[in-house]
Amino acid sequence: MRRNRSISHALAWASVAVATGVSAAGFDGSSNLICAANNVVACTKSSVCVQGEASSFELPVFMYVDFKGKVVKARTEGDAKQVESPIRNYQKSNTQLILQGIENGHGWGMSIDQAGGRMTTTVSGESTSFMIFGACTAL
Amino acid sequence: MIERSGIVLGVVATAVSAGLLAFSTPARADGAGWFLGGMVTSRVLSNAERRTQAQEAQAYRPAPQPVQQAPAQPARPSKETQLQDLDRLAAGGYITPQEYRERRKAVLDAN
Repeated sequence: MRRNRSISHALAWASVAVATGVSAAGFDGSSNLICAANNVVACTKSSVCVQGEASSFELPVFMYVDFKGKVVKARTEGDAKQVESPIRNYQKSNTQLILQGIENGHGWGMSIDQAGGRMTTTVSGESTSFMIFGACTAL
Repeated sequence: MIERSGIVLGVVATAVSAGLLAFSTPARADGAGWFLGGMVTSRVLSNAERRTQAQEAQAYRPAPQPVQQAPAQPARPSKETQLQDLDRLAAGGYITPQEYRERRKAVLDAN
């Protein structure tokens, strides 16, 4: 079941990549991005960490980086409700596109490799911190 | 000189801050909920909690008890030993010649 889900994620991801034409030029903030989450590592203040596929944490399959709207957003699968996090800061280093935000008592940061689109997102709050690893492509 | 440097640094810091804040927080769309600090955090935490409890349950599960094996049956003496015992019993007068013959036949007929 989980494997089928992972395969469907990969196929969906591949179709998006082909349809949009992956190019490194898209990772400079000039184009909106669609990102797929692959793995999650989460740690609590009790020094316990767990990890697994993003789908096993019931995360949305895709999240969208909307540079014009200055938000990172997604739609939940069940109720099709939109959720979004405002981008408070946006910077480019030599290799990374870095987005940061504050929401609901949590700080988050998203780093996207400009060459290949690899994505790492961290979210930290009072008693927990977790990382989401994935990849993005330009829309 | 130092005072002028301080002013320059202050201007630079202000400019950098202004640049960083240029990407200021936008208004949330109507009806949109929290994402990374909300829904994602909630789902990751609840799943992490569930996994942690499962791991702890696994860690504290009592070790399985070794399967108790039935005590081994004492080895049956060989026919030769049994016949020798019968000979001693008969020689000692503990059994009659009739009993001796019956027991001897039973030993020899047994598989």
